[in-house]
Amino acid sequence: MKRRTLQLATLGLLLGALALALSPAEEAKRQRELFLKQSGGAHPGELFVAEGEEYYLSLEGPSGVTMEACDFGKGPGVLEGAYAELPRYFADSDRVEDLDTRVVTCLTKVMGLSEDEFDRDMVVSIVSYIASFSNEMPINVKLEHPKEKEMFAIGERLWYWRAGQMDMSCAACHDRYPGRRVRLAPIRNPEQGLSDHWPAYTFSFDKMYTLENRINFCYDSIQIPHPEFYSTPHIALSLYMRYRANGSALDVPGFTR
Amino acid sequence: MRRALLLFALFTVALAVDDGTMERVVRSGGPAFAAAMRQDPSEKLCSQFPQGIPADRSGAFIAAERAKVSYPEALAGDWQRGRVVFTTPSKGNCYACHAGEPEEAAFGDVGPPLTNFGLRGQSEGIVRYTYEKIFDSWITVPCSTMPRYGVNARLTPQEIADLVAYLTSPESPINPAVKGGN
Repeated sequence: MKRRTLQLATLGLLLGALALALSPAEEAKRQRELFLKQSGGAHPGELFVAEGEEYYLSLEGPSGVTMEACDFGKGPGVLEGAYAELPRYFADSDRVEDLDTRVVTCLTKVMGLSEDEFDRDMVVSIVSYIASFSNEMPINVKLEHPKEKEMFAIGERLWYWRAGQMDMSCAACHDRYPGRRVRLAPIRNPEQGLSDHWPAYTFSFDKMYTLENRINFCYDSIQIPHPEFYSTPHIALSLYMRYRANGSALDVPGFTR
Repeated sequence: MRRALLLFALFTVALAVDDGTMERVVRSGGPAFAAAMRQDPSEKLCSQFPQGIPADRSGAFIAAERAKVSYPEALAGDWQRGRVVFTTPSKGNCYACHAGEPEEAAFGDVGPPLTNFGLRGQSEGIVRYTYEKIFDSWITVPCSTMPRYGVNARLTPQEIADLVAYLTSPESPINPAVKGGN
């Protein structure tokens, strides 16, 4: 009985907090601080960053080089601030790439590894490591190269694309109803930080996920089977959201439900 | 002013990506993604005009949507079955966007609250309106965020009729303020 009263009181407090109508960004920050307090200040995302660092420094492919030979936009071996400017056009691959795709390009084209010599979890850890060098930096995505402009336009069309059994699009929720909730989950638009905290540790899955995973969650939740990793829809939507978020500070590795 | 408009138009044209490119982009996401991303003409129009379709096209849009509705014999079914459809995530999943029974605290607020929906009455007109709203929300609000549950076969006509009963019946727990109810 006493326990039930306590549960009810906790629920009341939670609802009270909701009633105060925190902004989505504030709510995310509050949840994160709460969790960090409970876990003694340790951010589980740092474990994935450390794992990524190990891969980054020690992996070697048939070409005899490590990942330090790869260019993530600031020149080979330079990681500071690289993620803040992604996705971007790369002359060597002649395409626009997000960090996930660029890591795969590095592993395969530069280091000479074959697709079955690495897996998605490795890519996620490496992405987390490289992204951590842009933490708290302002997002600065540019539309200079014609292929960047085209990729942005593709992202924009995908953003508004109504389809599937739910007739949904990204915009139908994220642009029409930012600040409201789907069940208890706050809806944000790109300007409110929809994409700023990815890659993020998600505590409900106890996993690290990148912005590509975040895009997949969205499609799956609207009954559209998500696009395959490293495909154009991921790169286009990432570029579109990040361009709209230009100037916002990255919060990576992020922490989320 | 005219020059600015012309420049803006040119800029828009220059930025636009054609349907052929989009077809390739969608296909690059894999066969399952590409199949689900196929659009009917109404979805296409809603995507093209995210801030609302042009007034001169809404008449034909609504007529086309209206033609998609099919009706069961009784438009109001069983409220108890409707309650299950309302709460089940793979069915109505209505709490994602709407408030319902006062005891349920975990509801979204994207759509209007449906608590005491039954106060609108139980007339034939209300029942019909409610049925059509769930079967095809785009008849009343073109391009609404609410899915067209019947058109997309997310729900069967019978399941929609059961939802109608759950929303309108005075006995339904979603209607505590309706006279004669619980």
